[in-house]
Amino acid sequence: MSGKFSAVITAVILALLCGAAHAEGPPVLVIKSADISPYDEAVEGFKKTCNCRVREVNLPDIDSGGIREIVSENRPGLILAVGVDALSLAVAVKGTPIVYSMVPTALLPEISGRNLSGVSMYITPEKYINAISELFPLLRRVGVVFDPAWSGPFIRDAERAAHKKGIELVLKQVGRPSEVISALHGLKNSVNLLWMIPDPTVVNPETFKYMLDISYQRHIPVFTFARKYVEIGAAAGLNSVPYDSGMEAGEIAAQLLTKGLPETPIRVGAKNVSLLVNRRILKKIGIAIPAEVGGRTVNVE
Amino acid sequence: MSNSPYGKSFGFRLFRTFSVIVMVFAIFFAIAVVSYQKRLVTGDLVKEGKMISILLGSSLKPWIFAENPAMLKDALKDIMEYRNVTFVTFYNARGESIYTGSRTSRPVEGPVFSPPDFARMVFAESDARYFHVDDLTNSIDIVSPVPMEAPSNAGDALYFSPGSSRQKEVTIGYIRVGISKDSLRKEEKAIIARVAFATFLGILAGLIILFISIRRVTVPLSALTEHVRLFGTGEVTENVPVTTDDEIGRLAAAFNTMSENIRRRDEEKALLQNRLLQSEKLESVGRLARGVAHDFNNILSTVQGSLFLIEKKFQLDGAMMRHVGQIQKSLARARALIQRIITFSRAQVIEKRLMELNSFIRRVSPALANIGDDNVNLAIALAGEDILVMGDPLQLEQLIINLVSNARDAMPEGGEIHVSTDTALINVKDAEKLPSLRPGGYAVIRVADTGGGIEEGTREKIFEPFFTTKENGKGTGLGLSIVYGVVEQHKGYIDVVSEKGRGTTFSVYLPLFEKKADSQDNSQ
Ligand SMILES: Nc1ncnc2c1ncn2[C@@H]1O[C@H](COP(=O)(O)OP(=O)(O)OP(=O)(O)O)[C@@H](O)[C@H]1O
Ligand SMILES: [Mg+2]
Repeated sequence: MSGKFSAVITAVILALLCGAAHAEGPPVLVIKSADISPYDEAVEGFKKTCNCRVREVNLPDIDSGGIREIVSENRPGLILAVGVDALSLAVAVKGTPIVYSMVPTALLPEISGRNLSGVSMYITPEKYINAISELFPLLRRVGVVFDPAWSGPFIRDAERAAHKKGIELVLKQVGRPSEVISALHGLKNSVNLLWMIPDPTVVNPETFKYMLDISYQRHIPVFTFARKYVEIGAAAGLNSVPYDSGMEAGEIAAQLLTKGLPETPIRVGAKNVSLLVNRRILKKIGIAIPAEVGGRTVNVE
Repeated sequence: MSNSPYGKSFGFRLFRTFSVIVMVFAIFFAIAVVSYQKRLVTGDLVKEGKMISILLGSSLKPWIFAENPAMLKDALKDIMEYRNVTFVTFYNARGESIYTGSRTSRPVEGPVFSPPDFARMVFAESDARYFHVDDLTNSIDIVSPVPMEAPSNAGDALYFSPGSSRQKEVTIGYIRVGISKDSLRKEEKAIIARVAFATFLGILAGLIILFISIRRVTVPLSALTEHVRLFGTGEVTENVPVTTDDEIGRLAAAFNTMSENIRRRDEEKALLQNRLLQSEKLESVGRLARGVAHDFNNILSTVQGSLFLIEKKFQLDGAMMRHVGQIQKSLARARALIQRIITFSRAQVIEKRLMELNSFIRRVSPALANIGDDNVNLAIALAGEDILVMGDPLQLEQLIINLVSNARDAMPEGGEIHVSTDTALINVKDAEKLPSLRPGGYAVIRVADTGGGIEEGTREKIFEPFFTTKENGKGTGLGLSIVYGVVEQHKGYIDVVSEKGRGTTFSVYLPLFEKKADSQDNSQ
């Protein structure tokens, strides 16, 4: 109880402090899913373009009741939800426009209507396929495990893009997380790259570890969708840049605050992505990347 | 048992009691050690089982998660080679069995779990959150959950590592490992054997130490008992050896002192009795002698008177005169003898006064010189300082004359007589030799001769009245009894040292005069 109370106090003080800096218009309530640096970067980007007063709260410190309290007290003009967990709390607050950031498309709540706008971390399958074929021009058989319930349309787009680039996607469908390991086990002898897509059924620590096992044993690079996987052992991946994503969300927010809600909500994917590689892993599994691509990559170890 | 002599012995009873205590303690100790060791070994097995289940859980996590019995079977091959593992069962998150690997065809011991049991037992035990341990008859059954970081399909973890440490974990399945107790059994036997052996040695050592220490108590005790027994029967024994400084040692010492005292008292008693007898003897002899002497004196007076008349009335010729002279000589001798008997019988009467011994000897020395023959040389050596004693001069004169006469008689062919005075200190130790002698300062009158000495056999008898070795008529045998009487009455002591053919020395010890003793004596 007291923890909650002190969290509210902190939030209010933070809000007041931030509010003092920008005196115009109603404030923006920022809810972060966690106090981690990508989210901070996104908030920084947001502040850069939003031109508004900001009150920030971190999710572990506050629950939906607390949010509702703050909303009713401060009457923010808009809520910025950074991350999935923040967003699922924010949608519980009715009546205030919500802008989201750093949320995977697949996990967006099924809310239509004008109230919900934002920037997802969605990276189009084309971008992935292009990056893969650029980085690993020799690896043509790409294995993907997916759950059609989450990633059916994504895979259809991916197949099309792959076809264009002359890449063969070897697909394994799963319906439950427990099927993933066996699916990967069945894939490991027939592919020369594992593409890990942001599918919540497929991705969990165990399946990732198993992918790495295959990767190291078979010298197959794992191509992933987030920085954290490259850091802990995937060979390469694409990453939507949090700061840029935040800036875009800020632009959308500024527009909503000044012009009011649009007829159709503005929902976009990641515009700027970075190509991450883990050179140490690449060296270990004995795969070289073309020199002309190397310059555009960010090395993460 | 209690009828045997051992059963009655104090040492044996002590030994029996203590050995029972020692054994009880040793056995309790052994039991404690064995059960402790057993617990340790069981603990090791449990640890081993936990380790195995943790390792299996983490290395086979993907296949448990995938619920893939084929892969699990494959992975279990090696672990099933390990003797201690009897079976391993994998369960999924709902508690349904995925695969069981068993080393024996024997059915799995222990309870059959229904799916809801798992969640209950693993999460109910908050501290042993990850393990549920069943100690069964033949095996130890360990159930542990297989945890996994929460799958990210509901949160931000799909893209980002959570910032806070609040990493959610979910249980994706359970592992149940059966650890065989065979090795425990074997080890248990070894432990029991080792402990039993050590206990046996311990008891043995304890009993030996006990035996030795009890003997150290009982041996002096029984020696003392034996001595007391012998003492009780009156057999004279030497002292009990006092070996220790403890109660028993002190008891022995006390017993020694006591028996010593009793012995001394007995000796004193015998001596006193002896002396009483002697003085009674002297008394009766004296009374008899006095009566005889009185009558004899009257008879002799009559004979003398008659002889006087014969001399007066009759004109006697030369031959007759010689006969009369002979009679008169014999009369004189008879009178002298009677005089001696009277002196002897009168010996009890004593008048002591303070006298100086050296001047006394000087005064009587002419008389002493008269005793000696021409071929006997008398030498007198007096002590440098004055020697004061309480004494009866008349009696002491008798004493010294008798001693010198005896010395002369012992040297018919001539020789030397030494008369000397001296003082001596009799200390406690010397005084112990004779019960009648009290420690203190003494005056000594010594009469030594170079005569033939006293025969070993006659030595004890010389102080008896009428004992003499001299031929008929020459000695009365009263001289030394008079001397003895005088010495006794002066509370003194006489010592004879004699060597056959070389001479005899009589030493008379008289208590030195002391002021205190003086006043005491006067008051008596
Ligand atoms: N100095 C001596 N040397 C050797 N024998 C001695 C000496 N004094 C005493 N005796 C022995 O002790 C005996 C007893 O002596 P004690 O004086 O009592 O009697 P006595 O001399 O024989 O007789 P009496 O004294 O009446 O003449 C003596 O007969 C003698 O054998
Ligand atoms: Mg004599």
